[in-house]
Formats: sequence, structure tokens, C-alpha cells
Amino acid sequence: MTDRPHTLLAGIGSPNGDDQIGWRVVELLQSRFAGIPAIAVRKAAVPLDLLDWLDDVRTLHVVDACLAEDAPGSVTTLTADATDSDRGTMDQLLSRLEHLDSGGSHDFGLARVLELAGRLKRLPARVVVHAVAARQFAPAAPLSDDLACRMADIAESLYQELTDARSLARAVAAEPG
Amino acid sequence: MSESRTIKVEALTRVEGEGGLHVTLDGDVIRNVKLSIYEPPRFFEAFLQGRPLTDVPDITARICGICPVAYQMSSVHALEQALGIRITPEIRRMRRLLYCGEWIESHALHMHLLHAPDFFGVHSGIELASRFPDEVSRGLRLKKHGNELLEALGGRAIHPINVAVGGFYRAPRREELQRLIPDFEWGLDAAIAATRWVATLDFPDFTRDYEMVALSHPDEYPMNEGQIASTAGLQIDVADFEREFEEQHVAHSTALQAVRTHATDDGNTGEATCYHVGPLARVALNFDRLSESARRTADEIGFDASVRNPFQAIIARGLEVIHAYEEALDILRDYRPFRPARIEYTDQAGEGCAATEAPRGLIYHRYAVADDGTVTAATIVPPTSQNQRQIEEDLRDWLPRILDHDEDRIADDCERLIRSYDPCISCSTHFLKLTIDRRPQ
Repeated sequence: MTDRPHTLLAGIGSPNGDDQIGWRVVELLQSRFAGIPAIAVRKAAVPLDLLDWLDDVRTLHVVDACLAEDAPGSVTTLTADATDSDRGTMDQLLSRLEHLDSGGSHDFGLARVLELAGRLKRLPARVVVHAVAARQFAPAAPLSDDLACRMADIAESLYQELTDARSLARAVAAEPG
Repeated sequence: MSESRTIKVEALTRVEGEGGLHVTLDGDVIRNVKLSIYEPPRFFEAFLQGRPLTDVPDITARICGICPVAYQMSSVHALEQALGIRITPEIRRMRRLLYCGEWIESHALHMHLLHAPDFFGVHSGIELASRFPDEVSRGLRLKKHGNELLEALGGRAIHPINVAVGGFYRAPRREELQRLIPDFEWGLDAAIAATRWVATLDFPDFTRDYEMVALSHPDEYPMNEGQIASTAGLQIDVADFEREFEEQHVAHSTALQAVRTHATDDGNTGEATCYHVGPLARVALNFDRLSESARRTADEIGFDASVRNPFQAIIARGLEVIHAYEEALDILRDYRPFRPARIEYTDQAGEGCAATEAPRGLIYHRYAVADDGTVTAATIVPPTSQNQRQIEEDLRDWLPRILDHDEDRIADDCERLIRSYDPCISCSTHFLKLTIDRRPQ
């Protein structure tokens, strides 16, 4: 094992309305994970930023806003696990994301970034996308009340998932060597 | 009777933001070429009015997630002029260092993932990565260095927060910057290798007669200071930008299009013409001020200030990445924390303007502030609005060469030309479009 983080939690966002949700959730968690060197927490403006941080990462969690019919703030979790295909394969996850994904800078949305990581053999063994349903993305608008109310719950749920003993064990088990 | 055809690229790919292209042909006669930018305008200029001037660098940084430094640098220089602030040489060097980070990040991305695929007949950087994993990985590592420099100096890579009117909120510690040196030493060699690689690409023969416009400085390759020069002999102070250049509305685009006015001393203007900004223009006007390694590489690959082929802008970007690494290394090696990190000032009424060089080309800002430091007027002219009409002109001349192809191929070839400009249609919102397929258990 290396002493570098094996789990990356990345919040993708922008300053525009509910698109902030990825940033705001990881902001709530940054201090709580500060004492856990195995888990890195980052904010990304564009999905391509993820490629900068994947060295040694075995489990990647991404929080991002999505345009959905569901109630604002509800979370859809998509998982791909190379070590446990019962939990979903990367192809399945990419297929779902391709279907969903229209955004991202320079035509590089999250699905394409994950696919690129795969082609370059840099994809973590386990990828979990937490897509938060959102409705309004007006430039520089504040987070909507609906999402602001749900933010703490989403963060808490992520904290529980990432610190769950089984999650940590799975991440360590995926570590080579 | 000639056949009428319409060629549409509904959504341009591998560009920043949302735009499309509509071409109307009457037989082989091109009736209309419209580069449409249809994403809604975001009214940043109006949004800035009434805000304290201290907010401006942070707000303008949010115009673009890819080139925030260009917006920040242009705004702080303009506001400093309005307030009569003179920054120290140390602050100036740090601002150039920040700009180096943005050029490296933005150019490396465009070269490897956005533009290079066009030369190999593949549709994306993902396909290119399968064929050239080492080159694409190298490009992504260069991009990462740019982001790391922005993070070290700007506080964070996205929308840096350390930039202030008058300087920086905090001077980085020496070790924060010097730890970057080994990566930047590797990066300089890698940038040279990347530029050699893109120089071997098969470029269409498409030499243009551009008026190229860029900043020009007698002592340095232009980033954040200089006069505005053109290959047609223009040489003006930045304060005269709005006399020589003008933004105009066109019905088919939500973005303004800038033109050369050819203003005369008696206040009249001539026929408006288009012009070209960006790395090709910067190299054309400042070739002898590129760093030594960049000039040596240019000589080796046979690239010089006379190049006017837009497809070869990818080489100019490579040369600028080399330059940025070399200049960044010079600054990083000599770096000592500096004081003051920020020049103090008193709010006062005034007006100021500035132009800097974004990765995609010249960017101009003008602000007026009230005596309490409130912004009362803001004008921002980004590079893509300046290149938009030139791109349409290029397409008019490019289309006759490709009209005998089928329409999908014509559309692809038009996109290739547009992408060579690395247009940044500026979208800072991104999201996933989610449709849920609920199946019965």
C-alpha cells in the first residue's frame, strides 16, 4: 500500500444555481475527512479535472448535479465495480451516464472523462456517481431552497458510506500488492 | 437551375460552450455562412454594475472555468489603472507566472484532446487515446502541471481566489512554488516533444491573408502588458482599443462580433473588417520574444512568424507551452516571498482599461468606478467574439475546397477549421441530463 489516498471524493460544480451542489456537499465534508489520509476530497469545475487526481486512487466517488424529473435533491447512485460485477460494470455505468450526460466543458462530460480514463488505464477499480437531481442553473444564482435543505443529509449519507468499514475494506482490498 | 443546399452543424463539438454552424449554398455558390452562438447571454457586464470593485476579479473568473486567469488579470489591471495603482515588479512577475499556468493548462488540453483528433480522422480524444496513449497521457500531465501552478499561486485551480486588485491576498511560501520545479523541468522537455509531434501532422494547405492582432511588448512575450499591434501596421495604446475595434450585434448570434473600424483622426470609420487573435497572431507579432527553447524548436520544425494557416495554430500553441514552461521555471527558481503582497489603495472615482492575452487571444476590459469603489460600468471583449467574424470569412474560403465531399464530411471539415481557433463559447454551467429508466422488479 502507498500512503497516498486510495479514495477520492470529488464534487463537480459551478457557481450557477443548483450546479453548486457538488461543491457544497464536499465543502461540508472536507474538514470531517481531514484526519483520514486515505480519503482525498476535491472540488472540480469540469469533469476533466478528475484526471489530474486519479494516481493511486482505487475508489472514486463523484457528486454532481443532474437535470432530472425526480424531486430536487434526490440522489441517484450509479456504481461500477471491477472487483464485484454484481454491483455494476463500468460499461453499464458509462451507458447510463452517456444517456444522461449532456454537459461538461469542451464536450467532455463525466461519462467521456471516465471513458478516457479507462482507455488510458487510469480508471479506479470502483466508481460511484452520486447524481443529485436539480432544476435551476441560472448564472451566479444561489442554491435553491430545495437543495440547500437536502445538502446536509446528502453529505452525511456520503460520510457514512465512505467511512463504512466495508467500504474501507473494499478499497484496501482493491489495492495492488 | 442550381440546386440549393443547406449544411448544418447543429452543435459544435470539442469547443467550450454551445454553438452551431449554418451554411447556405446555391449550387456551388456560398450564400451564407453563419457561426451561431445560441447559448443565452449571461449579462456579466450588467451583473458587475453596483458591485464593489473588490468583487470583480472573483466574479469575472467565473465567466470561464478554463481561462479564469485571463478574466482576472484583465480586470485587475483595468481597475488598477482606474485607481492609479502601480504594482511592484515582484507582483508583476507573479502575475506572469499565473498566466503561464493558464496557458499550459489550456493549450495542453486543446492540443491533445480537442484539436489533435482532427488530424487522425478520429472523432474524439478518447479514440485518439487508444491510438496514441503515450502522447495523450503526456498532454494530460502537462495540463495537470498548469492546474497545479494555478492552485499553488491562485489558491485553487478553478476560479483562483488569491488574485486581488493591487496584487495577491497572500504571497506563496517559497517551498510551495519550488516543489513544482522537478515537474516543470520534466514538462519543458515534454512540451518540446509534444510540439515536435504536432509539427508532424498533415496540415491542409490553407494559407490566409489575415490581419493578426495581439499585444506586443518590446522586452517580453506578451501576456499581460503591451501595446496592441497588428500585422497591418497598427500600433496603439490599449486605451485606444474602442476607437479601432467595435463590437456589433448580428442576428444569428447571441455573442457580439468585434470588427476593425479603421477609424480616422477626424472620427470617421472605414469599412469594417475582421481580424484574427490568438496564438498564431501572438507568434506572428512577437516571434523574437519567445523563449530560447521555443525559438530553437520553431527553427528545428520550420515554423516562423510568417505562418498564416489556422490549422497550424496547434504548433503555435505548442511553442507557447514551451515558452510558458521556460518562463515559469525562471520565476520558480528565483522565487522569494515578496512584500507587500498587495498594494494598498484608497477608493476613488476613475476609469481604466486593460488588455491581456488569454490562451485564445486578446481580451479587453474597461471599468468605471465611483468614489466609494462601486463599479458603475463594465465592458468585456473576449477573444472568441473577436475571432467570430474571421472564422466565418475563413469558412467562406474553405468551403469551395471541400464542396465535392458528402455533407457529413463537409460538416466535419468545417468543424475542424472552427476548432483550430479553440473557440471558448463560455459555458460555466454543466450538468448531467438525467432520464431514469425504471424497470419492473
